[in-house]
Amino acid sequence: MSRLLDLVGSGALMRLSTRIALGFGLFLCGITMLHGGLNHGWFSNRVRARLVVGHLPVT
Amino acid sequence: MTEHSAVGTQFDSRRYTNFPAMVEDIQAGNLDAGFVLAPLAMVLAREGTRPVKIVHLGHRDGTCIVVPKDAPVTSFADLRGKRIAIPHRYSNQRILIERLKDQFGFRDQDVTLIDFPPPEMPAGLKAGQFDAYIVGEPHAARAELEGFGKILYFTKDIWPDFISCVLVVTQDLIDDEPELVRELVQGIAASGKWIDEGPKDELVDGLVLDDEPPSVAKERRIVFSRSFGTSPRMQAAQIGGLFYGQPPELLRYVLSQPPDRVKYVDLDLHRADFEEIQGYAERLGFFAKRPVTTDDPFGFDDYCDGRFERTVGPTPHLRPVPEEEAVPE
Repeated sequence: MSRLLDLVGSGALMRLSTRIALGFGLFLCGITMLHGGLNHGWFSNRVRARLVVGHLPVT
Repeated sequence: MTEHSAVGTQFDSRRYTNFPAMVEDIQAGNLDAGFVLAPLAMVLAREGTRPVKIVHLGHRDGTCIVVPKDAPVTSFADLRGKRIAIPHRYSNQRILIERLKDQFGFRDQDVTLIDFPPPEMPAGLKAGQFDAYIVGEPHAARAELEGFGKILYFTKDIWPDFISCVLVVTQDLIDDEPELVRELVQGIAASGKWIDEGPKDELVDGLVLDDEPPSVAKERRIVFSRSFGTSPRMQAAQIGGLFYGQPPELLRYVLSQPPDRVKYVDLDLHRADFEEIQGYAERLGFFAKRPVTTDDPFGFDDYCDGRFERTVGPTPHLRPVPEEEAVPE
């Protein structure tokens, strides 16, 4: 396991550009989740179910 | 019915012109809640392809028997040999006619019952398509106000606390969204309590008097005259006009002439009321496809679910009726 970590750290297993791409992907993922969580927390009390109720124009 | 509940759920109303179309939508899965005739709701619960439950009443009384104004009819006995329009063969209105037939010693063939869409009944009476009709308001008052019909009986006088339409919801909705059903039932109960017992000096949200200052927003609100009346019933006439597509003046008449013509309190489900209706429904063969027997019983708990009506929802948002400004001399 430590050998694998050494390889990753030294760049022998993953090129710098790949690491940047992965890092950016993780960053986007984090932002998306944060945005979703904030959205849910903010609007959960406002966006509610809708229900259609049928009736005749009669009591 | 309020469009938005106190916690913000949106309830949309869909208007139908006859009950079979609404039943078809319920059975097809296009509608999960609706106001239908009480015996029809029982038949749906018993024989429908999509199970439903009655969860609350829509109102009490509010049904009349109407005859032509110039007809020499003063009691049900005078309708022997006549044609009477009913809103549906599985209606409590039909059961009431059957009760009256028993009371007045009629045989089955002494009156002819005709299924007729409620909104078209006044025109049908005027055209002579039948000799009398029984229907929920405002279609009785329409014949009265247009001058060609008169009320033979108010249900309040011949079957007090009469039940016409009930609120049904599908079992799927109860299982999937019980809180939504509770919100709907409690909102209807709260609206009814406001109509019959609400403060007389407060306006409900969404209504504005036409003499209020320009600073009061009037867009997307119902604007009406102070002279129309500002009691909860008069406000309900304004709101109901929008949902029913009927003139508010007609609904004002229905809700006030006399005031107990229709009631919006005591809308909880009572076993005795429904057992009486069911007794007649069985006698008249409403459950012909699946008769009620000891081996295949059917009772109040099979078609009613009263657990959503144990408390009344919050009162609608109200504000004081603004003072009338003095008119300058």
